[in-house]
Amino acid sequence: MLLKKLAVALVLSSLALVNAHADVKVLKVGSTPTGIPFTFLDIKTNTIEGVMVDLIREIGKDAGFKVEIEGMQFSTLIPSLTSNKIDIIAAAMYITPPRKEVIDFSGPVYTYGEGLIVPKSETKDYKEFADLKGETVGAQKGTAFIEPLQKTGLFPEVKIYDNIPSILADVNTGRLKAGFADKPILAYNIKQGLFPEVRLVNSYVSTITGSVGIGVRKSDGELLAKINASLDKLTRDGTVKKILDKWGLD
Amino acid sequence: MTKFLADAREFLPILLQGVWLTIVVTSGSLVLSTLLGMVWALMRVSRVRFLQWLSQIVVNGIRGIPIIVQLFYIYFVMPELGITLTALQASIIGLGIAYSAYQAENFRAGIEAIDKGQIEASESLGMGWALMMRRVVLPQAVKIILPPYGNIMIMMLKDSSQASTITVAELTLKGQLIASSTFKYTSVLTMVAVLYLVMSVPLILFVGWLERRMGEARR
Repeated sequence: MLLKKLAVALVLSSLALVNAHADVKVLKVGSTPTGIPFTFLDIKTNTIEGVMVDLIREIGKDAGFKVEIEGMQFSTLIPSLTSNKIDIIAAAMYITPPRKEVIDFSGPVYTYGEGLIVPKSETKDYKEFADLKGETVGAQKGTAFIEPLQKTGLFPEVKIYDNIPSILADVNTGRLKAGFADKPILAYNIKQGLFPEVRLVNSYVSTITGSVGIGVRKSDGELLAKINASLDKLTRDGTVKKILDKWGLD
Repeated sequence: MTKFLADAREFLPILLQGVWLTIVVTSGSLVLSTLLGMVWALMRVSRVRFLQWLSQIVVNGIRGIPIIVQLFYIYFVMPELGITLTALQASIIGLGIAYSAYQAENFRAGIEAIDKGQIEASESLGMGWALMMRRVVLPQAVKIILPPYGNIMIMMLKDSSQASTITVAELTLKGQLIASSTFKYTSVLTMVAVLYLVMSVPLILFVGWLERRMGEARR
């Protein structure tokens, strides 16, 4: 009789525990450690921070889920999402038609184009791709910049780098004559002074513009709806603008 | 299956560009690692204590650091010390140095396996160390060294993929490039694996043949 009472008590208490945790879902969010100011690894706190991280945390608070931010290489974000290693992508990822065939995106969060960086010794005021004809250029693996660059036929090689700081490092040593990456990320890195020999070409006009958004699996329509609803609310009540201002994006 | 074949036809030309660089990196680092490996090995079996000690330090130091770390060092850190190499140069030099340690140990094992009687006989004939190595020891050591050497060749073919981490557009990086832009991971990665097999299986068969051949010759 005592054993039976004990068993019942055990089952009831474990049910109570399960219910207590069932309310707050924890979703894994994929970000990158090298996409400042959108997503980056803060060395002091050893956590991923940035615009997209702040945003997904606010969305989570509004929509009712907790987030666990994981840093990974940009090019592995989509395969990680589709193979269920993560549930959400919160990074500086353009919403593009090829990507939309594989995953779904929230509404747009911030729009920008590619920036051009060259070594400081190159003083020419480059305006467009044709100005760099014949040079070897660099871009980041998995970004939407690679194909347009390759398609121009103007560059003998488009070197592929794992992350943006690697491109900055190569331009800094002069080994790479021109690099293309997200303009806000390039600007932020250069402003921090880590790459003293790199120049962000102000005369260059972006041609590969896009808007970044939050990514989810195609099968997660319900989650997407919740994210979009929260995103709308946070845009209207000024939270999104506050986050962008915090990181210096206008 | 038909979809895979259609993808295969579309991606094969780009992947073959990668195959070419894989072969370049593998051959280049093979030559370099063989030459350097011989240097370390001869230093180690020389009668000069200092050279033996130096060789041991170099070989163990190289073996103690992962290849990727060595490549990053040569490509990203050396420029800060004034030495800026292209990605291809850095990968051949990096892999060449990294593998020279394993080559050296292989050569040393082969040399030390030669019967001491051969060395004594050479000495009693008045041969100097260099002449003895050249005419007596090394020719016999080759039979012992060749099969493991073949194995090292196969390992280097696969380790050429590490060059992808420093932007060399060899097969692995080309595959990642296509996969991350078309999202057809299954088709592309399968093709990459098959291409590596196509390159390594003949090598593996050749090494097997070598092992049989050398085994017979020693009897």
